[in-house]
Amino acid sequence: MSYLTDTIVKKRKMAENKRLALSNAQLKWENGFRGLLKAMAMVLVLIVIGVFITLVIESWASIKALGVGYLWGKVWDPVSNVYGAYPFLVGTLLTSFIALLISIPFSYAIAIYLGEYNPKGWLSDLLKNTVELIAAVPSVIYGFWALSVLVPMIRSLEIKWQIAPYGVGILTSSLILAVMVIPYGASLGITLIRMTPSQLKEGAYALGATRFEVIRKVVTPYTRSGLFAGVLLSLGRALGETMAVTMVIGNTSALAHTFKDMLFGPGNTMASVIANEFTEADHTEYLSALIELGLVLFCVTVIINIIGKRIITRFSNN
Amino acid sequence: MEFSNQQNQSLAMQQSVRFTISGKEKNMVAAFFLSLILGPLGLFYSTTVGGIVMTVIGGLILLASKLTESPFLLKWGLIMVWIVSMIWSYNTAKKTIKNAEKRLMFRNAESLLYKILIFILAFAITIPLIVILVYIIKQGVTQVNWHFLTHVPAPVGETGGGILNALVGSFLMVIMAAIVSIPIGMAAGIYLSENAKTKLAHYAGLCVDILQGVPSIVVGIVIYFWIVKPVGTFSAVSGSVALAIMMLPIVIRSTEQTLKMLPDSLKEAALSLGVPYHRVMLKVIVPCGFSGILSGIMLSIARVVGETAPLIFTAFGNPYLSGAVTKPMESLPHLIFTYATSPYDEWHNLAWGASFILLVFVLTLNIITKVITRKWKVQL
Repeated sequence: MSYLTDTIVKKRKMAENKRLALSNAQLKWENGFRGLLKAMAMVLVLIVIGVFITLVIESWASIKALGVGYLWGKVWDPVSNVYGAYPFLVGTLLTSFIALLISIPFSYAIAIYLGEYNPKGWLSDLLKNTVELIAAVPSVIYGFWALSVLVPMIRSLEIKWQIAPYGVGILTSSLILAVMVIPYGASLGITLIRMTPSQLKEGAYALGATRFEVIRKVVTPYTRSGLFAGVLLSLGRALGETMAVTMVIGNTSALAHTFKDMLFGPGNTMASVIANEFTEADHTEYLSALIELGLVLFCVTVIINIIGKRIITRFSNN
Repeated sequence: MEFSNQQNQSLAMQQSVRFTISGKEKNMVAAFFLSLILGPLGLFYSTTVGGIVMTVIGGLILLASKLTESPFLLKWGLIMVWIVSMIWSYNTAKKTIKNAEKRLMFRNAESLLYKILIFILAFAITIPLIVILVYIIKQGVTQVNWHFLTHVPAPVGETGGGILNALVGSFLMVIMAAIVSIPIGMAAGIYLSENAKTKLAHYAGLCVDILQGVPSIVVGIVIYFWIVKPVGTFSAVSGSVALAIMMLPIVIRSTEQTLKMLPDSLKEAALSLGVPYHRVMLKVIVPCGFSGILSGIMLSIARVVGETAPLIFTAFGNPYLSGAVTKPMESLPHLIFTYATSPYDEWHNLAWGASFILLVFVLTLNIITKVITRKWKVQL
């Protein structure tokens, strides 16, 4: 009898131990899994910090040698070891701002049309898909198309206007850049414009406002900060865009004398000069001057992105 | 609703101002045409102040263009002055009209014109897309045949040749990048959606935003110093690490957004049954949000398969067929870049064919993603 109870107790204990061991193992798995998730989030932070540190370390030689004056040195001549980033700063800012100026009316129109006039239906689906496809086409394909279609077109226009017919240049790259950044501003604008409270719009309609007046005096002021953030984010895109610009900008590091020559003549942006000269850079100072350009680009885009995202989160929390 | 009160107040104030100040009624059409013909001088009909301001500005532009001798400034400056005075005179004349019926007519006309303008501007975007797509299809589709897909590029001067090396290279590098970035991205995405309030999540979210905005060329530079320089040679591995970093933010964001939309009751029910946390996540939560995550992954692949900039300093390119991941490797966008900027016509044709293949691949991926998101009603 006692033997029987003993075996039962023993078996129970064994089962209990087994269960405990199992749950301990599972607890270990669980904690391991949580740790893994945390580690991956940390990896992300480490990557960004690592990118920044690498850029600073590798460009330290040029930061130390050239100082802040590097940014507005007007001559970039690797042969005689003179480095100034001013031509590329001008090229980058000029292409980006012209592209933005061209693209803003179109992105705004798309955002208003899809957000306010016609949010549903086959026509708006068509437009939405078009915008998504434009964002999907790789930039090297835009560059190739611009090189073989847009450049001859601009060249013949320049011959007509009696300007030096380069074809390639700041204007050409701004045009292709404008097409590429339209989707970024537009897709953000659509979501923001849809967030306008309908009471505000209905109130304005009840006061007898026309649709145009509602859009101009209710929707646009309400979404203004968000739309500004959209412009900022597309500016960030335009500043860092490399391939399409590299292929059509003409790649000269010399600074043009008049504004007109600058606009229609070849130039260089920060990204394009890195793409062109990085593998050719044969001495440390040249290489680190190029990396400093990358560092400037990185910092500017980081700042722009953080400001833009912050505006958007503040807007959506209201 | 403080805002709407302000809005109403300002509207009411404008209305009262309009009706008290305006004196004599003026014809809007006449005002518009007068300033169209006479420019700033025609503006005097509707508003004296505006007329003086615009005339002075016009005079300054004339003076400046005389001093700098630039016809460019003269032409565009005067055009701007003309346009501004036309709008100004139309607007001021509009405010003097007292008859409400007449005003309503003009307001409705304005509204209609605005709608037409928005419509035209919005649909103007289809023109460049169609032009680009048609041109690439026209140039590329004649290049593509079986020979094109199964041979490596021919040397200069020889006809024929294909893009097999780039196809294989792109495929290998994107697969390697996906293998690296999907687990990391999903894990980080789960962390962000589960622990949204912690400090680490805040910084990680910030880093996702930063990574999303980093120019791809900068990623290329950094990977060059992380992998290529220590090893001493360009390699496919370094290229795929660069691509993996480009993929990460999209995978993370799509995972996070999808999982945040799932109801908490799913997780709570599973946990209350005694299912351990990792099993809840991997067997319940992730499968529920699978379609959203999958579409994010496909979007990220579509994005990186066309990336050239990070590959120039990492995978570099290789005119021969190569499966060695520690050696330089060709990829589709890099092949397009090098062959498109070369001076030879045969190479251009090769690049057109490659562009066509790349475009078809990217657009197909995008369309499949759209179908998935529509079928499972995912929002990205």
